[in-house]
Amino acid sequence: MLKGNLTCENISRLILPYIDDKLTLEQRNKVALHLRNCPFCMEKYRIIKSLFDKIKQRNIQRAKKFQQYKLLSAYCDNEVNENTRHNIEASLALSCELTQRAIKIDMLKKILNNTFESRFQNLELNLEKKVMERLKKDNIFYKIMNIFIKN
Amino acid sequence: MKYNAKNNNLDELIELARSGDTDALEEIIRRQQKTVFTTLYYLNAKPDEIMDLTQEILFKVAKNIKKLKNPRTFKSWLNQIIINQFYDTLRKKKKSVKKVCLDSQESEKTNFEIPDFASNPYQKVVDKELEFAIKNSIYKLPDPFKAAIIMRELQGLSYEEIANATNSNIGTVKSRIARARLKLQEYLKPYLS
Repeated sequence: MLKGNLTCENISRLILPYIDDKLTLEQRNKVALHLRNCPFCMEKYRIIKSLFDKIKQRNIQRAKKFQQYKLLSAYCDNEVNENTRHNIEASLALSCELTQRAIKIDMLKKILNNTFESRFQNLELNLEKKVMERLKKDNIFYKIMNIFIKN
Repeated sequence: MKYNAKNNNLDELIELARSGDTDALEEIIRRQQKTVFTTLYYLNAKPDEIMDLTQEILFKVAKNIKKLKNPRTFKSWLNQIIINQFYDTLRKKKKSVKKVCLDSQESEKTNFEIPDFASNPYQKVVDKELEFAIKNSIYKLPDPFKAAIIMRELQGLSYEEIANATNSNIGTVKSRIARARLKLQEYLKPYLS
């Protein structure tokens, strides 16, 4: 159905960019005009918009949760400034969930550190002599090369 | 009486090495070799290449130490060399044609086993499963997360040092470490409860 210069088929393609605010003003106006006059497309728009809002909200919450985790992770590494440290400690005192997350980070740090330490505790490589020997040969080679280049 | 390089701290050794002291340079190599080796191990260098790669990286350190302007940036600089060398080798390998030995029955190893150096057999058994799980979990991380968490937890580098080593900013390092931790917590869940 042609309403406001756009068919229902056009609207199907334009609904998402319309909701996501990716259209030009002229395009937006045309879509809005069609929606006002087409109950079928309006219903479709409402369903998609509600789904879109839910996803957006979930993403915002996820991002917020990650920001909080990121701060906590940096706090466990002692990589936050004094002010942030105080704020985090105040939040930790009030929230069991947050405290548990901090404990988990700490546990992870411990098992990683212990494993890294014990895994190669007795490793003997003794590469220093080989490297120094190679460096010596390399220096001699470059000295000879320089003599040839100068001559 | 000649000084003993073993008594100096890393910053002093770097200063001495930059002015041409070979004893100091040798001591730096001796101290850093294990760090280079273990970093490569957790970055997942192949067991048959890890020793050569370690040697190559240490040689680059020895050869270029005079170019290092600030001894305080040594750890970042060393890690830059490790990461560049490791990924260069990977890239070169991807480009080269794979050769298949028709006589060999052995299939390509995906489980990277390297000799176990722990001396206590009991401890070895107890730690083996966890060590294997950690190695595999780190292996599954995307490359930037992997490098960041290894530098932090294995080497104890600060966020600033990691940022310098990976040519990124502290905010990015913070995110990478946090994301790596979230993933590792998921993979290692049975060991964290």
